[in-house]
Amino acid sequence: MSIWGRTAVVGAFEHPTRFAPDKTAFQLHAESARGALEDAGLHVQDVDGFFTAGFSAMHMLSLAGHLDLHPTYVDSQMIGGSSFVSHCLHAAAAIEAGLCHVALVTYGSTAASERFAIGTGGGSAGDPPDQFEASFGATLVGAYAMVAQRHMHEFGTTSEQLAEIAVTMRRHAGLNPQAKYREPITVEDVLASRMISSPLHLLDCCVISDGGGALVLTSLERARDLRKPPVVILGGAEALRHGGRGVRDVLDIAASQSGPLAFERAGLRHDDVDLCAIYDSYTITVLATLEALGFCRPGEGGAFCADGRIGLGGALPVNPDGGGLSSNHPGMRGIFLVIEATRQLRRECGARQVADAEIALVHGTGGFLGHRHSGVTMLLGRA
Amino acid sequence: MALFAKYVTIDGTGIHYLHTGPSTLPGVPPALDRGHLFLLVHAAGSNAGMWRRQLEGLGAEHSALALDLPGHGRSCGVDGLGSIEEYAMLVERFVAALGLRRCVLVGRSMGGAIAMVLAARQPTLFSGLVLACTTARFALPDQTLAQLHDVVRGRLPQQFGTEAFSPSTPQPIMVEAWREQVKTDPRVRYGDLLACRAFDGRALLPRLRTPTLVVAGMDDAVTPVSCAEELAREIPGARLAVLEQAGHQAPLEQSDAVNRLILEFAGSLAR
Repeated sequence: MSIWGRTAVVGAFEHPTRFAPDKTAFQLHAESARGALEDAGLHVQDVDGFFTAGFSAMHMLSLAGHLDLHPTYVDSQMIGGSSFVSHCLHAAAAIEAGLCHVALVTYGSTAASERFAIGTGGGSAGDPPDQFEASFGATLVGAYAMVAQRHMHEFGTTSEQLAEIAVTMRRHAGLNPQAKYREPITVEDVLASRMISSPLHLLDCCVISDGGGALVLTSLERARDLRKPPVVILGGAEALRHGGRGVRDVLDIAASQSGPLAFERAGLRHDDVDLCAIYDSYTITVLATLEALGFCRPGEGGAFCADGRIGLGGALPVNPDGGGLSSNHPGMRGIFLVIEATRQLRRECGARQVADAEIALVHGTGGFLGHRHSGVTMLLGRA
Repeated sequence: MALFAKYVTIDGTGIHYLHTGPSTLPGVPPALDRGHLFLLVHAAGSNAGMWRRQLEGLGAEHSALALDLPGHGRSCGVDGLGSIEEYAMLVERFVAALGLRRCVLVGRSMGGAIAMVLAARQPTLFSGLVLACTTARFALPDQTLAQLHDVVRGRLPQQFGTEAFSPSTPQPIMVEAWREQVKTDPRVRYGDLLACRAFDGRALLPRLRTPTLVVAGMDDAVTPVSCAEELAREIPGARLAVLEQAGHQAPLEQSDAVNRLILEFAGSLAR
């Protein structure tokens, strides 16, 4: 029995705030949940599946209390920023298996007003590998920077090519009134911004914002009676990458496993995809992900991203909302990828709408790219 | 002294403020009913925390509150407002939202410009006006703006300048100011400076009918004493006080002296 093509995203809401020192993360979860349920035309009492991720242990228990949810199926999988894409795949499986009927996925974070150092903070001193690495000063941005260094070394990728990605995301953000940064930037601006972890400049890095978002999913059958056009989960796959027992190529990323499997499960080809929502924690994340997903050959990512192809109006628009690089990144951006893809497929995105969008690819990355990380790919389509 | 922080929502934006006196439940404005009431408006890129010494000094026997303008400190929003006039309207709505009684409006630098505009618009709301380290027309060097623009564009790290202080101000005082400075995104401060540069309050001054105290720092390099002299000359009946060993941050650098001046001035006013 296949679960693909049978579950739909029926509610999607991105909280408009980018800086909310007057709110707690739970309030952002709650306000987002309300927004997504209203979008779907459903009530909180309809929710019987609850999916969320946060940093603290048993965070879901307190949050369920705050939202007064009484789910019969719960999933607090936490694999970093991709978690929420993963929740959608798990919800599809649970709904199709009859374990729940209406799934609510929520996210909320006050990273900006808490001054949380997402990229430059060190690794935690938790489980054994972290304990042994943290003392050497490993940072999140440092891991992504090593992927960029390696890509430059192997393939001659340039900082200008990476900068094009940031410039494109900022151009998109200019069309999104809620984006945190909307003023256009140039390649020169990116290169002139201060170095954070070579070769990644400040403008190669995502913003830090407060924010929240929520999704509501249900069976396609039920979705047809709801308020908005259903957006169907056509296929998806998850993958993890880690050091294993030895030295590993930092360019071998999880997307190269989850991408082909997601396409196979959806019965789609790259040519079918009208737009992508790719986790853009850093410019290199977009380049490496597009390569690993197979949109271009390894090493060709720089040229692929640099000639307007991934901009609105190009052959493969990526992150029309401005992405994490310019719009919204409260720490774990995965849910916003699904929200933007859903809204694009509903064709409700106004100035940043991708014309005639039928199929969208979402790819979330969690953790340290090139190091221990997760990748989750999902293909969405109009019903 | 314990200061309490609260929020009030104005035009959909959560506005954070610090106040003296007992706290109240969420959504219930504080009483602020002891003695005179002082409303403090901060400078460009600053926040209510810069008034801590005034809140404590004035609040000992009176009531005081200080707000964070939108985008500043712990108020919501990623941007400030575009002009001094818009900030003045925001403060006016803040006063209305909290139902404040007639109060002494105190502003430093950009906050002083906001106070002038607001006092001219709504003379009956305020029993007195204190204009500290401010001017009717800001002369901001292009270099200052260019440097801050580079910070905003990510080309320079945030700068912790000494130009706003008197040469005699000890470093711990400057550190106190810098610790407040980092609570606001530099691009909000940049927007504030553009708003200051566009401001020209000279025509307002003769129209002000609120009793006014002008406070200046002798060593103020940003809004020199000549600016304060112009204010005192042009605002009918205004008094001028010039403080030694004080720069553009006089309320912080000479907090006791500034508090004494404000209390003395308030004592001369009808409530």
